[in-house]
Amino acid sequence: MAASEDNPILDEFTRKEYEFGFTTDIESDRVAPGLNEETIRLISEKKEEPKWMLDWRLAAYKIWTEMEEPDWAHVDYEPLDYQKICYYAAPKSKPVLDSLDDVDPELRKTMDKLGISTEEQKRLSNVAVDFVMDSVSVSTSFKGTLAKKGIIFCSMSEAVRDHAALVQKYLGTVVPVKDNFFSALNSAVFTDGSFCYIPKGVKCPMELSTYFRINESGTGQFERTLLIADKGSYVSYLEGCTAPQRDENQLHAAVVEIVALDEAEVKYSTVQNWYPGDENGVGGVYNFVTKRGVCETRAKISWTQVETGSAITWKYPSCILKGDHSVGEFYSVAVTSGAQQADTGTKMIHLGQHTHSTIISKGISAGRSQNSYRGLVRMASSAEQGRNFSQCDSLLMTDTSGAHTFPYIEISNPSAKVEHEATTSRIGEDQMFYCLQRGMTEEQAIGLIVNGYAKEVLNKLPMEFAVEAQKLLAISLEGSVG
Amino acid sequence: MLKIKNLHARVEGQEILCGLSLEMGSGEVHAIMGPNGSGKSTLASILAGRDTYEITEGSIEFMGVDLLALDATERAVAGVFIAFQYPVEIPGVSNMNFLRTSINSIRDQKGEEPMPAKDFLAKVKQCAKLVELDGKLRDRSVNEGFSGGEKKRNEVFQLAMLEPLLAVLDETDSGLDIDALRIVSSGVNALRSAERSFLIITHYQRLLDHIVPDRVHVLAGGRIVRSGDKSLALELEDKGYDWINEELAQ
Amino acid sequence: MKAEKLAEWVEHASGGQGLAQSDQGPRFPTTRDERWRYTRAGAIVGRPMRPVATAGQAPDSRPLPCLDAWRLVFVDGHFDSANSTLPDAGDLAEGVFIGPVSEGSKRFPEQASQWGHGHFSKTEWFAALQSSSAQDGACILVPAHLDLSSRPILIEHHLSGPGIVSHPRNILHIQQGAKAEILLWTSSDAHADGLVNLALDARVEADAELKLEYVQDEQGRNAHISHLAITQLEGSRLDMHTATARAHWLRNDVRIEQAGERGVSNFNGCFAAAEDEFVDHHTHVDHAQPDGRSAELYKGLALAGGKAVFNGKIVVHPNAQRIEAFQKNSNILLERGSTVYAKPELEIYADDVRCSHGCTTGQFDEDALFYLRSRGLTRPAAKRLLTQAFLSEALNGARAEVQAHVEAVMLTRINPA
Repeated sequence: MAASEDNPILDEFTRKEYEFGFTTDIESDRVAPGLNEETIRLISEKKEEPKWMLDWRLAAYKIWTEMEEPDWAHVDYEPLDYQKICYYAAPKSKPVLDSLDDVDPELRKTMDKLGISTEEQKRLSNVAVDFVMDSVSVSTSFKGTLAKKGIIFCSMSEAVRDHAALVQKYLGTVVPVKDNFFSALNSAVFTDGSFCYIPKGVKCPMELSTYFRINESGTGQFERTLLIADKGSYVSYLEGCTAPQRDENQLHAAVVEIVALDEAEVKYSTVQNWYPGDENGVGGVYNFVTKRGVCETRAKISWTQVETGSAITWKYPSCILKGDHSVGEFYSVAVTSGAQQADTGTKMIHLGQHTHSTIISKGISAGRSQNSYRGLVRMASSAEQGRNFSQCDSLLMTDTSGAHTFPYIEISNPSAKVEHEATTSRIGEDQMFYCLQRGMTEEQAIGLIVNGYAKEVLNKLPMEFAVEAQKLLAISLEGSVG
Repeated sequence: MLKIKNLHARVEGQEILCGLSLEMGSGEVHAIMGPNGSGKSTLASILAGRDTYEITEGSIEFMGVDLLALDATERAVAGVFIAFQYPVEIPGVSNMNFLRTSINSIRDQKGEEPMPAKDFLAKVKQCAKLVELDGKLRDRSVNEGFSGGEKKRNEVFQLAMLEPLLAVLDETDSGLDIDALRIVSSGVNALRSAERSFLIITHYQRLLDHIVPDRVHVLAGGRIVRSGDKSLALELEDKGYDWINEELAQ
Repeated sequence: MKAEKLAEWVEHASGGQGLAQSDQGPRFPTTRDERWRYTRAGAIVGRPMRPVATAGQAPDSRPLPCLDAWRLVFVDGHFDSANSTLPDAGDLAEGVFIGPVSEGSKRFPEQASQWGHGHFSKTEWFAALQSSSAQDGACILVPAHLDLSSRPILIEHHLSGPGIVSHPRNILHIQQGAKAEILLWTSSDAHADGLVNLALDARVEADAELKLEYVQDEQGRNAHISHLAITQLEGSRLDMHTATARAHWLRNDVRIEQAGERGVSNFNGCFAAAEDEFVDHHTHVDHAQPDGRSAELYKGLALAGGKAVFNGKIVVHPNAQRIEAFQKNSNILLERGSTVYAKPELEIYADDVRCSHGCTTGQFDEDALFYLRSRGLTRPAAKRLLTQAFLSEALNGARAEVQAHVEAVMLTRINPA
């Protein structure tokens, strides 16, 4: 089917406004754009960091200057000018916040508009929220309840001050500074993010949640998340992202590190809805993120992601299955429309014996977007009896979009077994017809079929997020049949 | 010919057989019946020589040799044949190639010459007739795309070709319609002889209407709890397995 | 590798021809290049080698001696007419040519020059080297509506000894509605340690059919790089089998372009990498026009110390609607210390398509092994049968003689324990 003229719904869809495209009018404290050692010293100074932290940043900066920006992903964009980005922007009226009541009223409004009113969520779903705006964490709720269990959940800046030993022990151990271009950049300039520690044997009684938001124009967001699940502990962690509508491209280069010690289990869920740019591909967030976890013996890390936003996504949440009998999972729904480009997937590195991993990836391409799955499954020669199953499906909604699959399978152990399947097809005409014949509108039918198609992944999300994700999917795909 | 003494076996730490004893003479047909989970299929797997089971106690003697000391190949050479409940599909290996390799491998290990092609083909023809296996099935890959009934017929066809001393039929009647059941059992009956014994493992009595056993054993809780002649099977059919369980509980 | 050393190697290996368009042309591949991620080309250019002016000794016997075929024999990139069996020019229909490129380019200069030096010479360094140093090879020209498939054509390329590089170039032109069956066969002497740098450019025009079987059975420690570029026009059909029965270090790069509608491309491959061996199969099918079909099946085995690579790419271009493309790759690691790298890729730019790939890597099904053993087969015999079955699926449809030869060589080499 041809593009817009015979499909008014598609047309409407591509002109669909970004729902979260508003800015918050808060005076902010910015550092002049540009990146050099001085910028880093300034960030560190503003955050009142100890010397070891500054030294770590400077070392990372030196490494970054010697690296080249990667070009292997199936995405196409104008090279970024790293000297034009502002590396620090914090809401100026930044008091020490003890409770949400102290939060700037404008900021509170932002949260409300986002539909993640912390107050409301507190009451409804018992979720502890850390809210990161631009570069700085502005509020963390439920601290007291968590503290009773010995759980630390705070902003990264606080953790650097108050839990230095833990941060020093684990920071950069899962994603080394020199891992890639963007992780090195992040290590040099990260401004805030969330820190979480679950003590031995503790099951975290509530979902922990962080909301990230880029507000200032011309700002990069470089948050850093470090999550440590001590032996036998459990935590479910949620992450949400939005950004206002801007004409220029904003860079988001985050690093997330997870350490799952023996028999710990971590569920990490993301609903990513950064501003994708307009239908002509102007503006939108460049989402270049490195997420990785390491599993010790019998530990389990499960990544679930619903990716609907960003102009460009470059993201591979990964598991290093180091301990014997450890388990890694990756469940992903990635929707691209308009002129979006996504190159996303996972890496499962099997080192331990009897390590198992599962990859379920569902790509949906609409508009003129390009949607790629890129994944690595490696069975090291030590990965005795390692198992992987991967299923990567792509659904094409228009004849102008693209769906691509690039799996890398590297096997060096003869007792390991790896199965990979991938299919690409368009939305089933007979399915559509069946729904229409049963009285549904085209939009309902698409919503139904796509949600069914993505169900395997959506089911992995915690309840509160699943609802939000379904809504997002529906919005992203309204009338996008090709 | 077969003596099982006080057999104890476990799977993943769980005891499945706990003190099973059974004796069979040459040419005899024995049936083992029992409720689901009583250990019937475990017994078949142990006889076949699968290494997923751990024998913790007891012994199995077959034709005077310690069966447990033999690996799966050696057991087949010694004359033990298992008609599997779920015969595996082997794409790319034709039934004929499979059987020729099997027969000649057994002959080779016994120090015999390979079977001449002419004899082999004649035998195929004769055995296929026994279970009404048509030519198409013979030329297809082993069990690939076969229906449940076709797979079971293929098992009995192989049984006829390999001429074992002991044939264990593991739930051969499951998934068979009445016609297939008739074909399979008449095939088995034709293969009965004074040298060949059959151990029929089944949940239902109906197979025993067609293949009449000399002895019937009831397996429950990993042991033979009752033995009798063919009337025991009818009694079981009549009263169900709860009756056994109740008696055991007392 | 230092630039000067590489330049020196090129000077020798090209026989003084150098590398055409070395400035704008493709760069020497390293593992930083996505297409060479798992393949170390540096290993080849480390040793000195050069083309020879006169051919060495051809092997005593011809491959598949019982096969009734036209035979073209090339040794070290030179035509060996004494060992070849060719039709008399007068016996053939007008416009048919079966012979060496050296002669074909004189008699049919237009065809021979038009279809040579295809796709790869602009994108791949070794193909560019091939192009600038091209030696002799087979030239098969089949005019429209002629069915030549009643008698196959066997093209044999042999590398005769140490220190030699050959750059054979082959041209196939199957015109509208014509049919041909071609066997390409490479072999090398046990002492060979140089390089076979082979190119084949084929053009299969509208409604034409090409059956191509490629057997690589090389005894030496030489390296081998093949670039096969096949262009298909509307309604044409390609049936291709590639079997790497024996090779020390080998890379095959196959590109099939469906430049016309309703193309059908079926291509299979099988390979085994034993100790100290490296085998790399890259395939790429371009669905540039609507209503095409492709089906691909590659099967690989790796033994201790062996390394195998499979990279299969399916590209469906914008507006190439109603494409059905299927790819399957299965690999078995037979022993400890073996490695397989697989990268099955889909790049889809049209929506009304049915494309899929499946890739499995593991070992023989334990249930199947057990079943065979419980029927009296020894463990090695059972593995042997399963190996044969594993390979046979990929060889299905190839000539029985080819199947038998490949299976025999591979089973002897693998000798599963």
